[in-house]
Amino acid sequence: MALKRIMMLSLLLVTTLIACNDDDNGSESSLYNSGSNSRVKRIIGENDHWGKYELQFNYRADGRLDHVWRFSDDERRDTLGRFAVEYDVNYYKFEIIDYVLNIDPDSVSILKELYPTSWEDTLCERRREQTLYSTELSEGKLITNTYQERRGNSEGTLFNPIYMNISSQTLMVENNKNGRPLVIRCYEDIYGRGSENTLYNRTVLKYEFEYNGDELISVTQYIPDSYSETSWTKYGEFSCSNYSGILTGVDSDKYKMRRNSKQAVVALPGENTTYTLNDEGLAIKMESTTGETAVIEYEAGSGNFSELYATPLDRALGKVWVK
Amino acid sequence: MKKWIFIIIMQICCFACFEDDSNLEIKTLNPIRIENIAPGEYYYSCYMGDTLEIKPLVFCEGVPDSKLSFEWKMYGGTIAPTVLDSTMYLSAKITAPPYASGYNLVFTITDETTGISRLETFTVTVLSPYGTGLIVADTKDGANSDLSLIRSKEFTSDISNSDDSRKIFKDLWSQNNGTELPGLVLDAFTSTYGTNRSLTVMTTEKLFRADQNDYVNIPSEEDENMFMVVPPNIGHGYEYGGFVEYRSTSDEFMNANGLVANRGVQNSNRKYNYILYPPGVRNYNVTLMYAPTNSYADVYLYDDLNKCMMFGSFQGLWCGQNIAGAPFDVTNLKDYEPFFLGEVASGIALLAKEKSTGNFKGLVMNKVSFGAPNSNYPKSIFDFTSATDIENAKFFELNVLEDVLYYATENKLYSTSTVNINSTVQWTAPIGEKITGIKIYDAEGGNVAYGNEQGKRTTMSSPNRLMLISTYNEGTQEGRLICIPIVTLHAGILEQDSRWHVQFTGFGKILGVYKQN
Repeated sequence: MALKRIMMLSLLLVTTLIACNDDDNGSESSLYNSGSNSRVKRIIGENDHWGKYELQFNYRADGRLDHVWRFSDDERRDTLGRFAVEYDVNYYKFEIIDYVLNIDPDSVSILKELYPTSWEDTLCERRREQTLYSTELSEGKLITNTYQERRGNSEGTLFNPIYMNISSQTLMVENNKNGRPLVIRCYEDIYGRGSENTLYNRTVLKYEFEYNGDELISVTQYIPDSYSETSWTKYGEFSCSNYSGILTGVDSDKYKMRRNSKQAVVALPGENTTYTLNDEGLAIKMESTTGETAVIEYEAGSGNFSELYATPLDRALGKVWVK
Repeated sequence: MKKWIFIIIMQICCFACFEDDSNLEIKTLNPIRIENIAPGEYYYSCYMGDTLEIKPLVFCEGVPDSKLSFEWKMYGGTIAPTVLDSTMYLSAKITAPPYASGYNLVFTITDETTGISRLETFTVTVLSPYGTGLIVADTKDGANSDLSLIRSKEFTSDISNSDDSRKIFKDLWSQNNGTELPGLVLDAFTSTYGTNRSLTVMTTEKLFRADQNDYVNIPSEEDENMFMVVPPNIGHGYEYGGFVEYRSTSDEFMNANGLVANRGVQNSNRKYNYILYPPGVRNYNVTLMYAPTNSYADVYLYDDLNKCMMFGSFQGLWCGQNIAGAPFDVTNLKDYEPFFLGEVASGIALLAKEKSTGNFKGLVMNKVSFGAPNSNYPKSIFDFTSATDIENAKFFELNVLEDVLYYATENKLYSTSTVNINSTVQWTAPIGEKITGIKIYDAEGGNVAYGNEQGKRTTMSSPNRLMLISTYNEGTQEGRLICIPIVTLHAGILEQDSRWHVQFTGFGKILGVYKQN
């Protein structure tokens, strides 16, 4: 009987203590929800760099992206690259990786002649990974890097398959209490070509976001100015239009976005991209004036792909439609 | 008993449910962040007079940028603390004098909403923009002078061979002192021995001293103040004189109105010693003085009072001796009117007009180091009387690399071998311009480009391969310095393709060109 009472008391005590605990994990569980119930599963498309391709997305149990395979879009379905993600506390690194041959085309021809049955095994061994694009969140800063294969050095002793860094962007985001960007400060580095690749031209920018309630109504761009009392000078402005809380348009000198229930059009200098949207407002088809196309398939579930590859600035300005 | 235990446990449970009433209004302040400056980028260097720019990206989350104030304050060395800028980006002209140890530059960012500041300290080393190069002395009014400095690859090794940018710091003396040099510059000389730097200028009015890093006159080192004991020839203006360096010890020799004193530059010495007198000589009047720039040979001087040669080192002056059978007597040059002292490949040469014959002679002496009165100085004589237009020549130059005589009339520059006199015109002044001086660049450092046989760009070291010709146009009152490579040694051939001639314009009447070390 005494044991029974002690157990009853213990149960009461535990219940009481649990009742007193704050729920501190609520925000964590919603961290990777994209707002819709779908996440990208497969993209089949074509672009200048990869040609025809297929991307297959794989997620962890908690909804976070685990990896993506890139296959050739033919019956062989060779694995030609991957997207890799590395997570840690307040840290992630996302990379789009190409598998490139560390052997020049002439040598491939020689291998093919000498070893007609096994030459492809050698090629597999001689491939190396090259990052085409990466994002990294570290110490509160989001850093993106864009790389490009070298041109005019694809043969003989000049053969060099290592990609060169052509630009990078470092963003420091200050959010409002609703978790939306209030100020984004960033610097953009454009690297020189060829032997001047170690030199870069840096532009420091600041974007201030203005909301009406929860609707983004404008984004003002500033550059530092030694002659200004505030140290900053207005450099540009993005005016935004909304419909029922949904961003439907962005206008500036060098960027425009329009969306309706079925389509979104993103216009940059010399390039227009049209997205066909599904009922959830996600792109299921993409066509660009540069010839780039893609068909996007989704599956049920939460994901974080767009948060990994796109910057908060691009997301806020309506450039990102694949989630 | 059990009842009490139950009551105690229930009380504990109730305590556990109590609200934490401690102050929840405490807000953690966001730190002031500085980005766009790498951790190692806290050391900067800047040339004096240039604009120093530091571009940090500063913000504090939750605080509007307009509520951040900035202050860039520099202090250290001999300057009073000075606020350079009050915006996020520093962009300020650095007027502080060169200071190798580095000034402290404190960047203070204040969050005006809280009054909290963040301080970051940078180190700024201010460099002299007036590095090694070529000093050009000129006069615009015929009464006062100024000094300009040419910084180009031809005159310094600091500038890359591929860097064709040429910078002229015009009128440095007046810019840094507010006034021109009174009088006409007779000579200027720079020396650097460790941190003991000096630019000594002799004008027809006075002797001046400055640090060649800033060109600021040092009044406490003017004229008489340059001497431990003021000699009688100092402080009354100067008719002629100049400086040479005795390379063996870096001693500076100054000839002022014919009397010579030397200055050791070691141990931070700034003053000249007593006037030097050769043993047994009570008076003399040096009108020509030369010291080899590419060897440790002695200083050679011509004494116009006693019509003889004198020789010098850091230990003093001495006269030579007549050597039987020698081609000439260095102790007796009464039959000559010397007008130039320089050096050719075969030795030190005194150019003179022979009074008895009217012929032009070159008296060549052996180059002697650590010599003595009984050293064998006389070597040979060459006759250049037959050199074309020699009677009209106003300017002369010799080159240590070749036995060649260069001379110029008002509008033509000639060269001839001293072995076989055969003058050829190497350069002709444009109409309206007159030659005001010629000099072969004989200091260290620099590269010069010229065309090879195929006309393609080739480079060589400048020392002893670059002829400097100064001209003056009376109509435009503009002086010009033309630099022409000596492309063929031993024949004195200058580059004829004007594409390889480098010219510097915009001067007044050029009085002389001098190396800045």
